[in-house]
Order: sequence, then C-alpha cells, then structure tokens
Amino acid sequence: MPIMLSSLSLFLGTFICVISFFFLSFIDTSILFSDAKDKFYIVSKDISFLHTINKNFLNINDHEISDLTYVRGVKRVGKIYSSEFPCRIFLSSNINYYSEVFLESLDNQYLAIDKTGFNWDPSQNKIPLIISKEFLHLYNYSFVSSNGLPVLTEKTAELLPLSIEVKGNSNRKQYKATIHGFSDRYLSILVPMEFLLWANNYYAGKTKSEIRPTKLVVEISENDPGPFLDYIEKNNYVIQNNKVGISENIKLIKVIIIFFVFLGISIIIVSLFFIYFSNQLLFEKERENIIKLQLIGHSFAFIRSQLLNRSIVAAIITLVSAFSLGYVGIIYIMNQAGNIFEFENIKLRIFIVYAVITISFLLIIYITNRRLKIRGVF
Amino acid sequence: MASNKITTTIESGENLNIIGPSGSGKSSYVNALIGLPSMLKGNIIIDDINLKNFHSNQWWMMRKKIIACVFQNLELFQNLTVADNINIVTGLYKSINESKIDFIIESLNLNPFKNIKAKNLSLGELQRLAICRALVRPFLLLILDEPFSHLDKDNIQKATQLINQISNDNQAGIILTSHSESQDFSFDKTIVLQ
Repeated sequence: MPIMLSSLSLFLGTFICVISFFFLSFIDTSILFSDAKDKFYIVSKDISFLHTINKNFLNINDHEISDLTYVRGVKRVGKIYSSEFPCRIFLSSNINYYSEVFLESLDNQYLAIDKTGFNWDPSQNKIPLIISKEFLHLYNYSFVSSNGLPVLTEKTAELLPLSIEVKGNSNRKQYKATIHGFSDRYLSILVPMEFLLWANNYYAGKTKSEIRPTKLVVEISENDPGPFLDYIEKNNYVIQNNKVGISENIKLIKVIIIFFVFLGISIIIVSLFFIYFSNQLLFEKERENIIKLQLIGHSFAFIRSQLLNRSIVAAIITLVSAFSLGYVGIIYIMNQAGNIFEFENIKLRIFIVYAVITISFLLIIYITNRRLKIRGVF
Repeated sequence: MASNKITTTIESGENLNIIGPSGSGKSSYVNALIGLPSMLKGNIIIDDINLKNFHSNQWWMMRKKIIACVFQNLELFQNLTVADNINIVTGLYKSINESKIDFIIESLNLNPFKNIKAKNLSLGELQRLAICRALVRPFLLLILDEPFSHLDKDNIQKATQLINQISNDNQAGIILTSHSESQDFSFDKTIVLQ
C-alpha cells in the first residue's frame, strides 16, 4: 500500500513536471530566442515638435552611437541606413499592385535569417529583398479583401515576380527584385547595403559619409535590459520594436509554469521521501529476519537490494508511465494547436532532459535507499 | 553483570571450551566474535586485525567464509521449512557437495522433517536443524553456543560425532560454550568464567 501511494504521487509529480517542462522548453526555444522576441531593439530618436521643423534632429551621430555602445548590457550597435530617393515596388504579374516604399539597409551580421546570397553589385539587375512579416500580414489581412488580391504565404510570396522602380538625379530605372526572406525583427524592406549606398549616391547624390542613420539596431546581452531601457528613456530615444510588454507577459507565463515545475518537483520529493520511509518501515518490520540472514553469511547489500527491488521496479514503471502519458499529452496538445509549436526543434532536447531526469530520480532512489541501515549487527 | 578478565590466544584449528554459569558472559564472547552487539570490553584480534576495526564487508566475509555458528537462540526462520532453512545457507556457496548435505541431514535425523515448517518443530528438532545449518556450509571456525541444551543423550552423541568429523574435514577449530566441561570434544584450551 505505501509503495502504491508513493508510486501514485511520483507519477503525478512526474507528469506535472513533464508537461510543465515541455511548455518551459517551448517558451525558451520558440519565444524568447525566436527572431521576433530576441534581444535586438530597433532604436530611433523620439519625435518632438522641433523635429517636424528640422528633420536632421532624427539623425544619430557617431558620438551618440559610441555612448550607447558603453551602456551596460549593450553587446553591439548596428546602423540602419534609409533610402534617400523615391522608390516604388511593383507586383509584375497578373496581380496588378504597386506601392510607394522606402528601403533600408544594415550590416548583414544583424540579419536574423540566412544571409547567403543577400548581396549586390552594380552589374546585377536583380535586388534581393528582406521584407517584414508584418507587411505580409498587412497585405493578407488588409489589402487582399479590399482589392480582391490572392492571399500569399511566405513561400508563395517568394515566388512572385517583383520589381523596384528607383528614380532621382534625372535617372529612373526598374530593377527586378526577389524576396530573400521574411523577418520579424525589422519593420521595413531591407536591401543589401551595397545597393543602398550605391543608389543613394547615384539617385540622391549622397555619399556614405553624408548619410546619417536614423535608426539603430541594438543587441542586448543581458536578460535584464534595465540599464539600456533607462538610457533610452533618459536620452529621448524610442524603441520601435518594443518587446518589453511581450517579455513581461512571457515572464509571467514562465513564472506560472515554473511554479508548476516546482509543484511537480515538490510532489516528487515528497513521494521519494515516502518511498524512503516505507522502505525504512519495511526494514524495521523485517529487522529480525535481516539480522538472521546476515548472521548466516548474507551481505546486507544483497538483502537490501532484494528488499528494494520492489520499490525500484515500481519507480521505473511509474516514471516510464508518467513520461509516456506526458508525451502522449504533448502530442495531443501539438495536434490541437496545429503548427504553432515548433516541436521538432525541441523534441531531442526534451528527450535528453527527460532521460536525465529519469536517471537522476532512479539514482536518488538508489542512493537514498542505500543509506538504509539495520541496527543490531555489524 | 559478569566481570572476567581473560587473555588467551588460539591457533587456527584449535578447540576452545568456554565454561560458565548462566549470565557469566559466554554468549558475549560469541556475540563479539560473530559481529553482534556485545557487553564484552577489550579486544579480539584475528590475524593482527582488531575486530573493532572491521568494516561491514569484512564482517560479511568473515561470517560467510570463516565462522559458522549454532546460536543459543538458534536464529532459524520459523516460517520456512527445514529444507528451506538449509537452502538459504547453501545457496550462498557455488560448489557445495549435495551428498555431504544429505549425509548431514541424515545423520541428524532431519529427513522426515524436511518439508515441515520450523515453527512446527520441537525444540530438540530445531536445535538439530541449527546444527545442520552450521555444518552444511564451509567454515574454519565453528562456534557452538550451548548447542545441546535441548537434545537427548543419543542425539548429543550423534551430533558431537558429526561435528568432530566435519570440523576435521574442514580442518576447522571449535569454540564451545557450556555450563560444564564437555567430554564430547577434545579441547586445546578451556576458559572458565565466574
């Protein structure tokens, strides 16, 4: 009976841990470290009445960038350059759609997607683009219904024939464009830096040294972005991709899940103690026979292993059942949630952690029960 | 409480008789030798190793390979049959001569009781079973703590004859505790406790 009760509580605790840990892993891998919710902040100057008169106030100079670099928690700062010329994007197929756009560019190291092929040279008539996922959402949820356009997924959008018309300095040219990828990090249309610098010079007559960035991408190395956020607030900057609210919500969810992990662990610890004490009771009950066995030449380790086999086997069955049921539960959640969870990415990690937990539990049971002793014989 | 100051040495294969009235401390010697808590003060040294310094594994090896004991309170498993009480000891050793076991059981007249649980046996039968259990296994020292207290003369004679024979086969020594000097064994040394 005590073994059954302790097995049941071990099962419950492990099951709670399995499910909670799954969600914790999911949050860590899929949300906190994803492209969208990473520790990259897009920073620009706060717009006040003065800036509406003099737009140069929006420019960020090297001294300001240097100051920002020294703020605690800031890992690196990248400049985002904007196009200084008029620009249009065309959907050049049977979908008749165009839009006035602006282009931006930054060093490839700050891109959150595969950078291979994201470059340009003047002999090239095709420009690779990285487009904000938000734009695709805007297109799908706003333009499609009002203009009778087809809904696009990321994959189908990448196949669309696009072109970009650029003009300025008495020049005008239409370039072919391909979508290199979609990004959560930048609310913009990104082109390779080589193209933007060349085009700014050619169509706007501005060299690189004449162009000041109006936006910066800042990578924060610490989990606590406090000092950086303080600096931003005190120096009249604004964060354009403010994830702080999301982070706070995620933190709250994490706290709740961690609570459940601790609840599960607490139940497990209680059940492990229960197993230990029920074994101790069993030892006390069988004390006389254990001493007799020792006196005729049996080792205490052997006797103990015979008595503990039952609880070890019960623990193994319990842990395997809890993990199996937990896994089935996770699969069920996956199916219900569709493709929201990127389970494949974390499956191996979860399995490794579960294996480590199982082995740890069994070791704990084994080691704690090895401490069981019988007084009465040396 | 008994207070006897004794210093003695026995060589391998020697027989020792510890004589004394009830409460004189005979069983304390046996308990100290077998690793049970004992009132004994002082040291017992085997092959230059003080038993006080034995760790649990050394005690186990000593109980398994060196010392066989017939306890005063028998220490039998009451819910097991005679055969199982014997098997629980012989099961510890890989090579035990089955015919030797049969011979010992036969010599102690335990054959008819093989499948009877120990709790259903008389004190005399239990004592023969305890002697049998000690003799079926290999040993270098046989400790007999008042082993014949419930046996009749005929059974005592058969048991002593068997004990002598098996001990000689094993080239083992005997430590016997009794109330009076035993004529059934030849002792190299005798300790008299007051």
